[in-house]
Amino acid sequence: METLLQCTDLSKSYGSKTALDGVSFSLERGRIVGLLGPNGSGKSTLIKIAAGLLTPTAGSLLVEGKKPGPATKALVSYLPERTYLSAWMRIFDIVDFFADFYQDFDKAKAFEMLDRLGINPRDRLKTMSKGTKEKVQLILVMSRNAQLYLLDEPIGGVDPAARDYILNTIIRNYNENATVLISTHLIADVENYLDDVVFINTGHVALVSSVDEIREGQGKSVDALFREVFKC
Amino acid sequence: MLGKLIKHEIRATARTFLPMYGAILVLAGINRLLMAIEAVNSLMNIFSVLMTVLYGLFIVIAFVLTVTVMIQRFYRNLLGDEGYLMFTLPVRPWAHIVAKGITSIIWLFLTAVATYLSACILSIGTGAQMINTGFFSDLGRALDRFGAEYGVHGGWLMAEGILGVLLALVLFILLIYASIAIGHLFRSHRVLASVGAYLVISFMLQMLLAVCMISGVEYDSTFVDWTAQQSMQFVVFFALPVVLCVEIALSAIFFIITNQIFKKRLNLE
Repeated sequence: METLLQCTDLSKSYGSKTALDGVSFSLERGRIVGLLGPNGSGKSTLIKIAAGLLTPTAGSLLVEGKKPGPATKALVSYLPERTYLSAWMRIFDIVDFFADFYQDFDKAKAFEMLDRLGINPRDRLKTMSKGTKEKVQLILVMSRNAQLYLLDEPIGGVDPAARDYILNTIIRNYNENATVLISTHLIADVENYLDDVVFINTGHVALVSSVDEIREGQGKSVDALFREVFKC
Repeated sequence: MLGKLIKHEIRATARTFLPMYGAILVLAGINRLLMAIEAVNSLMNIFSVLMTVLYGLFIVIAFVLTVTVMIQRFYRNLLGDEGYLMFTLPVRPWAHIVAKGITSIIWLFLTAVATYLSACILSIGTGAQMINTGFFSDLGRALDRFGAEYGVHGGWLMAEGILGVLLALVLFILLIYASIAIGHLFRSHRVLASVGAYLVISFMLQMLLAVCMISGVEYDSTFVDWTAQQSMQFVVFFALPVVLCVEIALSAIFFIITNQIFKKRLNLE
């Protein structure tokens, strides 16, 4: 069991607002981890630091023992909460783009998944619905043989059937030696797919546990425990 | 990696520039045809004038558009939603700055080329020489004559002039990038902050220039006794190189500012 991601006393503030305050935890390889917390709890901030988009105000976050930079970006596959692709690009342009910059990108896998969804690679992104765009982004992210997948609210804006599709795609396609970190507030939908959970609230880690521990040890579903821990 | 970034940058921006170049060349062609046809009535006259105006307008628009696209591309692709894609690529921030800068220079150059080609089209068959095969030998002789008269070969001055223009272009581009990056430091009204940063820095550069010119005038009395040759030697071997070095130094400062902001202070919404 090897530590893939290590947070030590990680803090991030924007002026007077503190998004993360002294967060410490670590993620092992080969686990599917849920980063669970209410809106505004710091989940996105934590993921953006791991993806190398933000720099911490204090503390450290290491991926495979390295600070986020080009070396870690090559092994981290990040799915943000928004459409980050150019609207005018055709699907095969975007696939080429990913293949060009990421050594671990599997073009064949990407086209196969797109084909199964009935997406024509000649279509431009701007002609697609929001749900389809999100699926395209997910397919691109999961077509990489990365070491760490960071998925920020991957099922937030889609219908329940699409949610199942997305979660199944994640499970079927990730590199088994890799770790998937899924941030979401839709606990009930994901808990059956998770190995571990990290509860986060107002920038603090409230709980780190395996799902088995919660279900067998405490006799509750993760969803029920979440409601208890984060009772308003 | 830099090559790949430039390749994708050109692909992304070609869809704006190539049609524009096409329009310039087509308008030049239309104008050339109209020049060859005798105006039959006043309507045709008006149409001819309109086409000429349109052509001139397009040239101006082309250059304005080149600068606008350069700014928009930098802002949207790196600091908008697409920034989430660009800054998670396994490349260092400086590569993004350089790739966009080089692409901007390429398009500015091509816009100038398109303008020149359109002028060539306009001059077809009129006897005006746009492409002079004797150009380089004529130029060589002119530079030699300059050297004989001023003691400094004209080639030096020309090289410094070309380099000066190129560096001024690079400086202009990097100033814009630095202004955009500085604007990004603010939590709100980022575009306004960028414009403000640009104005403030431009103002400071103007002040710097004014100070240099004034202090140059101060020493004018010492130069009065110099011969034409001595003055030219001073300009070519001291004054202009100093200017070029200042341009390089300022460019480096703006580049470092932009790079540091991207490395340490990136905060995509």
